Amino acid sequence: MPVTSPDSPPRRAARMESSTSVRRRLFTGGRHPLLRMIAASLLVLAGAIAGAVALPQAAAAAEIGPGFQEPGKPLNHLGGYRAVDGTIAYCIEAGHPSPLGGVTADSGFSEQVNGLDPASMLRLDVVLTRHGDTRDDRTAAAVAMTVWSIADSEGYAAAGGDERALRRAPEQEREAIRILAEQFRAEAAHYEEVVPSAELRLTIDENDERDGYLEVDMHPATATATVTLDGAEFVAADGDGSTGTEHSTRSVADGDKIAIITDLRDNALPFTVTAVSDDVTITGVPSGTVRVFSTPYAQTLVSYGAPTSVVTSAKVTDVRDRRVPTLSTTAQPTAAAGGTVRDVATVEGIPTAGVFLRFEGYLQPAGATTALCTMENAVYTSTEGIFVERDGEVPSANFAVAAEHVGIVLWVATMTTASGEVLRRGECGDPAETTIITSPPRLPVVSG
Amino acid sequence: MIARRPLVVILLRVGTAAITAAAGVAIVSGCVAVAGAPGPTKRDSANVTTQRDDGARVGDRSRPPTPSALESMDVPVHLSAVALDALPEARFDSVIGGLLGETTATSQPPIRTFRLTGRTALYGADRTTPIGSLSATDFLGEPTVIVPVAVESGWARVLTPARQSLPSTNGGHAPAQTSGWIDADFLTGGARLRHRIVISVSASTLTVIIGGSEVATYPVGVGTEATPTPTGVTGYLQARYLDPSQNQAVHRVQLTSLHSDSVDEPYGGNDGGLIGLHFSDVTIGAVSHGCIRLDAVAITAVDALPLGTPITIEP
Repeated sequence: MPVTSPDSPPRRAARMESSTSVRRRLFTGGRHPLLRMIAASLLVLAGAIAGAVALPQAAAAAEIGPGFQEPGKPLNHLGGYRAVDGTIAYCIEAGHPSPLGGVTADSGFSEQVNGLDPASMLRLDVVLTRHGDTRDDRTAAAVAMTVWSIADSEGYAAAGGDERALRRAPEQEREAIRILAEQFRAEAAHYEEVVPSAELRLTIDENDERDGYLEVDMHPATATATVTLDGAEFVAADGDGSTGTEHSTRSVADGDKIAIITDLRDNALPFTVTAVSDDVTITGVPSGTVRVFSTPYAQTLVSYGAPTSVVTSAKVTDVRDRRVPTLSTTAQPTAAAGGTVRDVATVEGIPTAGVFLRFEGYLQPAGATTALCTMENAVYTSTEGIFVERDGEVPSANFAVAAEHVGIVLWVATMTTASGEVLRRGECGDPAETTIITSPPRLPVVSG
Repeated sequence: MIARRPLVVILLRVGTAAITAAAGVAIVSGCVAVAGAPGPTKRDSANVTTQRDDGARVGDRSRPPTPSALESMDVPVHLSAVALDALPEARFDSVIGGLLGETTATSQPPIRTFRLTGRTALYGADRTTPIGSLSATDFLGEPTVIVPVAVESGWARVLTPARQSLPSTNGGHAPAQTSGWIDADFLTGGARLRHRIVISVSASTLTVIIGGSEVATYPVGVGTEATPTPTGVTGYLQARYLDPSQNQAVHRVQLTSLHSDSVDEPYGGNDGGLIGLHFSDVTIGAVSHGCIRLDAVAITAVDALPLGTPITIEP
């Protein structure tokens, strides 16, 4: 319902009067009902032929939506109108006739109405996006006032502005509505396009570089993203909460702290773990468009525009310049059956968490021309790892040499972390890792 | 002037022993080689050279050393591994003719035992021609026990576990104990010998002496008349081991460096009439093939003594 006042420009008043007076003559109790019906039909047809609006689906009249009506003047509505699909839309032409009684058509999205610049369009969309879709009378009233002041600031002011508009609301509601309207206007005026951001942080356990976690901070907190790891996998919990299948990509949310397991390789120096997201997204961002509902010879209504999304990316890389402990070994060069034999490792650069050493001795097949170190020819095996927490020499256990071990034994030492990651492993056939096992010595026979 | 090898320092650290330096010879108390064992010839003249028909000067130091070249005794020669391989190793079962025969009269009681830094050549009296070798480890793979009885000008005369000859090839008698010269530079890890064993064949006793004091005497069994225990000789504890095949599965056999001096193989076999101290149920009188038989108490006491402990067997 257009806002009218004694101060309305005559041209506007005449125009309004001409259209409304027609709508009133036709619709407010005239003495010729048949003529009324014909006129109504012609109006519809005229609106269609005018082509100013498309008539995709909304071929029905808008209805009064949330808000307030001026006492005694039900068409003086302060608030929103309900389009045929239930969308709450608002007038953007102060002083123009009410869209009630006409045929309101959905004209689709538009980047510009009323000759507004893009900044004004954005402010208009902000108000409609954030507050327009409401069933609250007070909110709807405040939105209507805000929309008029943005979309038709001169016309709104000429029609009496907030003071005149608030007369349509009950007195006890006016102050609250006014405050809301000011809030909405301030919001719109100070709206800054939100650009999402994300911070990814990788933390790798210094003592066991297979373990770590990824932390995610996103702004705004409603942003979403997927993160892909390189050099590691996410450790996912199964439905029952147990550690489940590892995978390299997953969705994340603000505040997430997700366990990862790194993809270490033997003797890899350095190794790199990278977490990347190319789709940090916030949705529902006002786009500066509005949805237009047109009614011939009446107010144009608008609702919030097509939402858009803003996408950004984030990345973090962790490079481990690992100092893998060194391992060198020297086996006992000879041993006799009936005695004992051992291997000795020299280690350096042991981390504070320590490492474990294991030794295996492999008896070479008779006549073998290449070194062979398999489970089948293993004769000495550490039953459990020797825990080492400082640099130095580490001997294996003294393995008993059986008569059937006579020959050549090749040793292989293995260094692992507590979790079993292999840090170093000797080569089968290392010359320093060879023991010649001989038959037991013939003992002297004394004279007796 | 001929360069003298400095005396091996380790032999100087001897209690209150007086050290007297003489012309070319350093004497350490208890370690002087005396008459009875062939030793080096002292030098008593300067270089003497003569002109040969071919113009070469005879007697020059430029010539390769010969057994008569006095100066070569002052400078032990380190042989190559190949040269050492060609020499017989002085072991419990070897016979090396050039070794020196030892008796109690020829040796002062040794006071230190050593190990070898490596395999070394063994020389006879002339200390010029190598006659054998000593390995750094013995038949058990343990460090070879070395017991010097004399030191001279960088040489050490050490007791060996080998024989010089078989009694059967020597008129029925051969030294029970031998010695040879080695380069003293090969000695390492010296340890003082505070213990001694003295065996009286006539009394059938074994006495343990520590620091010059007798601490225990045990009855022992000794060799029979046919297979006598050698006497008048000092050897040493060479090694010890268990050997069930010799019925010694509980108490270790204490192998000495001594051999029978009258029978090639008193017990048969090929090990050279080895004299050992071992456990036996019968430990009194002339009951053995030359070995010293001990009961459990005695063998346990001997087993506690360090290898290298001198063993003197008296008639």
